[in-house]
Amino acid sequence: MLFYSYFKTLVGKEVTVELKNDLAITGTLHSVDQYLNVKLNNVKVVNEAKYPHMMSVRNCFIRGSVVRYVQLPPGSVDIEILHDATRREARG
Amino acid sequence: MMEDEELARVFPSVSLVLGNGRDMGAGALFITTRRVIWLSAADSGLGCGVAFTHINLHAISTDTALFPRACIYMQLEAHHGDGASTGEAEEDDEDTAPEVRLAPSDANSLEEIFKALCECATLNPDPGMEEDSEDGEFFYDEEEVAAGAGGADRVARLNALDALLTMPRADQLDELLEDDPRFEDAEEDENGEASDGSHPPTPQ
Repeated sequence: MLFYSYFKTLVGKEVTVELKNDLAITGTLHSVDQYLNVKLNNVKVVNEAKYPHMMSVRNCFIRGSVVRYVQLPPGSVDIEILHDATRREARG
Repeated sequence: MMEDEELARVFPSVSLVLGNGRDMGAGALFITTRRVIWLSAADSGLGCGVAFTHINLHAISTDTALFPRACIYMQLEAHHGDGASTGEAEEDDEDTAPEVRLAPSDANSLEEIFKALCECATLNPDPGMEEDSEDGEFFYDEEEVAAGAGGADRVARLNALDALLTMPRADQLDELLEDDPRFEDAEEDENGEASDGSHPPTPQ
């Protein structure tokens, strides 16, 4: 729940989603659901050489279970809110 | 059809192109609540399907420099292939995800196909991915308990504990005590002292 709630606050921001198959996609976070499925707009593929066809993609839906990392925009990381949320999560 | 599978959308004129560029021709695209299925229009024996749990991502691709038509691009989970009934092995490297393109004859339906794929993909989380699931959770906080979290589970556990604590009913109690030597009166001698002499002598 923590990640879902937090990622929702990043909608509209630019994030980079790294997949478990090493594909990394940068895009504007359009939406995220409770399974951490992610929709990105204005997509750019970081490692184009491996997946050249992804270059032609403008928006995509990524299955939550194939995501390894999500790189956050440093300016959008509110440490205070995260601290608070993680404490509440731990107590819960 | 698979268990609890329902047909969500049909797009009658969609070409399937495999990752190696092989065009399988026009066919019908069926999007169900569990799978994406394509059946060739020309060859009724030709078709393939993939479960949503094996689709890593799907996207709208519009760059005609790379592919002549706007299409849906799908990246599948490695090793699972696209289940092509032609029996053809995937040509991809082990660590490269197989790719598939779906090109509708009417480019206006791209958004609709994309949307249907998103909706149905969301219906297919991987086992263990249910963040909010009550199943398999043992601990709940007070609020959750008050809201009835894991209620069925708790009732089942309490019933199991109750079954271990079988208490006799009141009318069964006398019957049970009757034959039990532990509950018999101690034998006393004529002086009123307990025969085993464990009681201190009565002051005379």
